[in-house]
Amino acid sequence: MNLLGIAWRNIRQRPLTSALTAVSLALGVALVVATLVTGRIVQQAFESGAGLGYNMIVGAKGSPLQLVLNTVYLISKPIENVGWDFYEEFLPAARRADGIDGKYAASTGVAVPTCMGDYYRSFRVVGTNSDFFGRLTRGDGEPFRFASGENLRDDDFFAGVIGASVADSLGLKVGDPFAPTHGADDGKVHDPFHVVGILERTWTPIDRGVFVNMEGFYLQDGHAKPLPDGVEPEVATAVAGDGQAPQGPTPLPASQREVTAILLETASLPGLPPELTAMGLRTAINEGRDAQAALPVAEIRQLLDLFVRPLELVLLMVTALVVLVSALGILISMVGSSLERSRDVAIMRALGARRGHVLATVLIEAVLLAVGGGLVGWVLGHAIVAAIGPWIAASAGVRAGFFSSAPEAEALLVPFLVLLAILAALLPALAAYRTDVSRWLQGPG
Amino acid sequence: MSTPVIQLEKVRKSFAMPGGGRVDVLDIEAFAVAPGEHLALEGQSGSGKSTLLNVISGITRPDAGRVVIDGIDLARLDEARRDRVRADKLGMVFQSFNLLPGFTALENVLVAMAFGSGRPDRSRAMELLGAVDLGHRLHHRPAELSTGQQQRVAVARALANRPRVVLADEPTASIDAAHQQQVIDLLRTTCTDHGVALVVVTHAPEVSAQFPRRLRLEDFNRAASAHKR
Repeated sequence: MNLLGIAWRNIRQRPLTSALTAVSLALGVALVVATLVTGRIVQQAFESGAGLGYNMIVGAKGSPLQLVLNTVYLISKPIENVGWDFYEEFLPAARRADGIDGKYAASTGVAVPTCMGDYYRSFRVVGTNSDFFGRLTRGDGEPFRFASGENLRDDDFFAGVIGASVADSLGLKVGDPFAPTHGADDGKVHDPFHVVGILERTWTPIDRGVFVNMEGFYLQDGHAKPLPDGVEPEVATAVAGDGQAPQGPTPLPASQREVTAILLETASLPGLPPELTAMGLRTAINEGRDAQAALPVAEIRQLLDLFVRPLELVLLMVTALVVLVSALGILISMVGSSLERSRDVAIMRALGARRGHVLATVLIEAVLLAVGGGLVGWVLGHAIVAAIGPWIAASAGVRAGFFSSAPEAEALLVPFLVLLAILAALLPALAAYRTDVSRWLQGPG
Repeated sequence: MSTPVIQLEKVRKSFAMPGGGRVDVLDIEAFAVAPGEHLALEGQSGSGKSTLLNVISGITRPDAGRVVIDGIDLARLDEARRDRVRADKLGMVFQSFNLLPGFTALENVLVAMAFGSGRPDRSRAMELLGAVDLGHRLHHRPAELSTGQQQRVAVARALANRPRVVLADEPTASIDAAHQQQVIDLLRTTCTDHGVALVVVTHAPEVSAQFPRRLRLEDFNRAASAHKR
């Protein structure tokens, strides 16, 4: 039997006290782990959403953070819209009616328009075109993949592609109809669209999105930009551009179109590094009166630094306090049993135990309680994350399960607990160290 | 005579009084125990019996004099080394047995081994308990053992590290008359079997009467005799 065995025996000698101490510590650690892991998941969610194949978002002037949150994470409200003609400034000659390169076309690699404001049930509806899934990526640099069906087609005005969470939550399948509502999910019901594709899960906010062909989006009540008094609506041009009258519905004229945001992948200008091209484009847009350009990565970093990380820190401090209180439990438990311990220590000292032995035994006992409680708490913390994982996945579109982790912070937990246990047990350990053997074992002589 | 296993020379020990001043507890010119010897030390309450045992076991350091255990002068050793000598050379049997309540009979013996120079030897611990008829109670805790069984565990534990001397402090004080004789017989037989010297401190004349050598503390501890006067 070594000191570890003796310490373990001491723990088992007081099963109820030891168990309560370990359980209190486990609960504290579980809270810390759940907070750390959830914080990490939130961070991952923001970081993954900031890399969807575009590096700039152009939208109406206002808060750049609001623009990013609304466009990338499908939360918050749209600021306002920008005119279609401004969107066309990013298009090359081949994609413009006038056959002239847009003002920013040279700096633009990909420009994908999005229109927002509608809902289907509690999910955001995004009007866009096939470039969204054809030319952007899903956050990890990989192209979008469809679990079933296919991408939007420009000639199918009432087609929709839904994210994995939407499909799971609403049970929609390819071919199913769905009718978005105008504004809030209890607003006026629009014409029905039909599902043409269901995306594979991306673990990004895309999973929570309902994407519809923007041509169909524009044709809904209240989506056309009102014309100034006295201005007659333009005659719509054929989508195919072949001079034939289009089959089916007529697209909304350009003068009545608006976009909520433009997702831009900037291109390098000759002789300029990509970063400088992006900076130049951003400055040029921001100096104008029509719109603003926001860099999602920079905005998210700022959001994390200003809001998420401090909040996480506060949460962590609160939960760390819980662990400290639990550690006080170790101290109280050991001080409470010090009378009983003194006699045992005196016996062991009389049997030849050195003072260092008894000091070490008490410290090992505390460390065992802390590490044991900590391990249970660690498992419990991950179990909590696993339990709320489906809710996180449904509401934030990010993966959260038992094996989600915050490895750097969690790796510090064990040394932190050991240190805490040693500090908490130092007082009773020193008391044991100083135990007066002759006093506790004194006979009548 | 061979080298004594316990040898005290000019040992003095006094304690501070709460109200000031000091009281002499030990003043021993010479005291020795030969290897394998069985000795009863008689003394009344306050005669310094426990202090003498603490000095011999190295728990208490004397103010003056030499305490030599199996040729090792404790006065020259720091506390940790005195602890090691106590673990290796001396076996202790306490009044009230003083078994560790959370440990089984076997573990009580193994704990004593943990503090000695050798490695804890499970089979030897079982053998020792078997020798005191406790082979069937190895995994019982003290509370699950009878008084006599507890005392036998204490004897087995005292022999755990193959000591040269067993010091028994009032081993019969807290048990009834029927068990007293069993305990003394057990101690003497076991120590004889293992060739170990035995020093039993007692205030019971009927116990000391059974030992080949009997000493009254008051007779060689001048501090005790001074109190008596």
